[in-house]
Amino acid sequence: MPYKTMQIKLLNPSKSKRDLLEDAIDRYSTAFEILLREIKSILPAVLPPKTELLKLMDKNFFKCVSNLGVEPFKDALKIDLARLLAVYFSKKSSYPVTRTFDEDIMALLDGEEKISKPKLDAAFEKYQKKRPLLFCRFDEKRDYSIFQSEKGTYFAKLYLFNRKNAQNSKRYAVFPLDAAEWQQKFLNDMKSGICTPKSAELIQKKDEFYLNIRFWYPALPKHHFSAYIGIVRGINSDLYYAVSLKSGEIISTGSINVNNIYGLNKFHSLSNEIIRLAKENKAYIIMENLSTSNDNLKMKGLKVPLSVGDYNKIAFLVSYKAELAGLEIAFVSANSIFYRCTRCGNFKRANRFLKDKFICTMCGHSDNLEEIGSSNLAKTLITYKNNKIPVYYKAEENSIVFRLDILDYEVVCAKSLSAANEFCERLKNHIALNINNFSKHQQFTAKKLLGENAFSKINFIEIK
Amino acid sequence: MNLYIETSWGSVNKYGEELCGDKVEILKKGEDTFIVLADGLGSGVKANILASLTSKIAITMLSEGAGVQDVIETMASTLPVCKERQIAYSTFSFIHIKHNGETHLVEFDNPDTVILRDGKALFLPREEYVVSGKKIRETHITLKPNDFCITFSDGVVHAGVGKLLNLGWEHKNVVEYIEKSYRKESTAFYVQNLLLQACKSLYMDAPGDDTTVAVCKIRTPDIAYVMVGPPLSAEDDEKIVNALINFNGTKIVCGGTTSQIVSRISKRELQIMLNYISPDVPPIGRIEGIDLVTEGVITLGKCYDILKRYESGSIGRDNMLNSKKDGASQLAQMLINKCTGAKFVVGRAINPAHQNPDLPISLNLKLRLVSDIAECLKRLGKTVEIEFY
Repeated sequence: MPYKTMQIKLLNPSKSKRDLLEDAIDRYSTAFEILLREIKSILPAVLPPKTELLKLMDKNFFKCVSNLGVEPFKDALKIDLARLLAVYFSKKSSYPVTRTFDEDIMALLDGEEKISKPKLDAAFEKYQKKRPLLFCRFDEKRDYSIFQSEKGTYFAKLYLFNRKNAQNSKRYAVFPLDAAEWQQKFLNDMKSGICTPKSAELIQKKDEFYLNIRFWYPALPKHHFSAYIGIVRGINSDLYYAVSLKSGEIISTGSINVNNIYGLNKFHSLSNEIIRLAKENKAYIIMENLSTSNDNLKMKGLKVPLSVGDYNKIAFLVSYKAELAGLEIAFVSANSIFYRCTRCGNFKRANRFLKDKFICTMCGHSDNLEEIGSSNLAKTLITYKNNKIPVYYKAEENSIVFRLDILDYEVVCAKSLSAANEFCERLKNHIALNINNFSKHQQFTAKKLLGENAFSKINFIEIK
Repeated sequence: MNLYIETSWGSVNKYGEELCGDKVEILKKGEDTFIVLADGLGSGVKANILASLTSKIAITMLSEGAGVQDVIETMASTLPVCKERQIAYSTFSFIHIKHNGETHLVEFDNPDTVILRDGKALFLPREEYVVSGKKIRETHITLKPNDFCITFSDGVVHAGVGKLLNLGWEHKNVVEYIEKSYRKESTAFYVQNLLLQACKSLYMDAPGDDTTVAVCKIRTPDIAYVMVGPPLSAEDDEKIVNALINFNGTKIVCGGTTSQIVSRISKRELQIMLNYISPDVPPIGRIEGIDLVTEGVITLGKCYDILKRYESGSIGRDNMLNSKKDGASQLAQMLINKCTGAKFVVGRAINPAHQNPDLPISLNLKLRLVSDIAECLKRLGKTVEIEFY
């Protein structure tokens, strides 16, 4: 489900409104930390399901923050807490602290225990720290909403007060928004129903206030693809790509570069370029999965423009942008892509030559390393489809026992030279009868075997 | 012990040229092997003439015992003079390998010949002297079994210049590549073809210079005794089988009936192996003391296909040779990688199933296949002998 986040500035709030916002953020941050400490004592050892976790935060649970007037943020606090706890349980690190108060600092300083500098630094760093104020839904009657005046100005309606603190009997405040062209695009999409606004966060940067609004865009139906595009980290350029037809023929290669743009904007530009290339070539995007294995591109004395972390960030951006564009994307193992010959398939470290060149030690094929890597990546799915399926067999006195583990199928054939053919025929019949009962993974194998010449797709391995 | 010198050479013409400006001459005289690689000035017809003359003069004179000085002087006075440059010029490398591995290496302006031992290039100090104004480099070394002697023209050193590599491949990188791609079981043909393919690829299939590689591999002789088909007369069965059993080398039996004859006479059990199933090639058998037992005509036909593919240097040939374990691939592997030659003992008993009624009776499929395989092996530098019974 593709989400896009749009940041919009609250247009020059007056002093009083600024105070209101600061106060709201402060109350929310304080309440969050108090609740976080409160829930610690009732948390089970393992993370409960989200519904169970939310049940723990009942009416009584919020009593400890009743004096902070955070009733309008109750749902948001629940969701925010659940999110943070999920991260805590997944990382299994020390219990999180989001904000420290005067008493915490005093307790640390007055305590008898010797306190380390990092611990003290961390405590000061989080002293009165402000947490983004979460609005968990778009609703005109609660949380937040956006509307447009007759003059065309956009306004945000933020519910910041409980009944007791209501300003002029209103629980909300209205703020004009600074909608530039980019923001207008989202707001127009929202108006015309193309996207749906979801949660939002109110943040304060220096003296300015911003709303980060998440919009949900429905994914486009997947395009029919006729090629694969492999994207690898480059050596002389940021990224390098190769486009392969379904037959495995490489039809184009090239570098993807973005100059004079840095940071996240650069990654966005690179990912947009990838999407453009994929659309242009009607291609299925294949990117390196660098979170589990390395591509071993880097070597002593060679500076690669993009680090693994940078590539992963781009990959993340490409993944949701591809979904929005109706393109398909796969992340595959990057192991050996820069060392495997695209002509003969020989994989050897020795194939790498002069840091950025490749000369196969088996067939002599040579090319730039980036071309080799991207071509290999573009052809990964084709290679995978062409991989043979292992079938184990054991020759007995008068028979041969064949076993196909993936389908959990075992059959005994008479010991003869046509035993393998007999096995193939019986396997085909078995698949035809049971294909609907197979798991998704099994169905993939089964379909592969149902095509013509099943024999060529099997690798027979003897068990001794 | 007499060593076997396996030789192979190949060239790639400069892009757009019909003729190659490099020339290799190989001469086996007695137990000695002579190799000359000449690179004529320029390219095309002129270079081809210069290289041909140089290689022919050098190999003829040096093999007859003439001195290097005489050869250089003869060349200088014989070679046609270039109109543009007013010189008669052709570089050359000369290698003389004796049966015991003693090698004499003479080079004139060609890239240094590489001697590869256990995957590492040997540094050979070269004696330099001037003959008729030409700087000659000379060295002596005794080669050992599995050593490679690789000589090449400057087209190899300049491969990829201005294209994939700014300064060309350079000699030190060529040597590094040769070392990296070293495999003990590689043949001379394999190394020669590999280097040429790499050059061709670096030149992006449009070589900027004539490129030639000549390779010798020093090997301990290992002849394969290949028994194909039962003899015409059953009386010869015992004689041939005994010759096979007592043969000092690799022993191969091709044919179902033939293997039964070997099993019967040698009183050794014939087992059918099902540890590799291929849809195209019948299973192999096993007889104690015999290196390989295969089916006959189908296996030989497939083996010939593999040899042809290997010879043409087609992509994936290595996989065909080394990874597959069917009878035909094993036979091809033995003939190419293991053996330095083959002795085919072909029985002429006719199997009616293998005859095509549309072909003349004299064209016996089996005999044809054996002679085709023999020709192919000869082209790959093997010594081949065929006997009929």
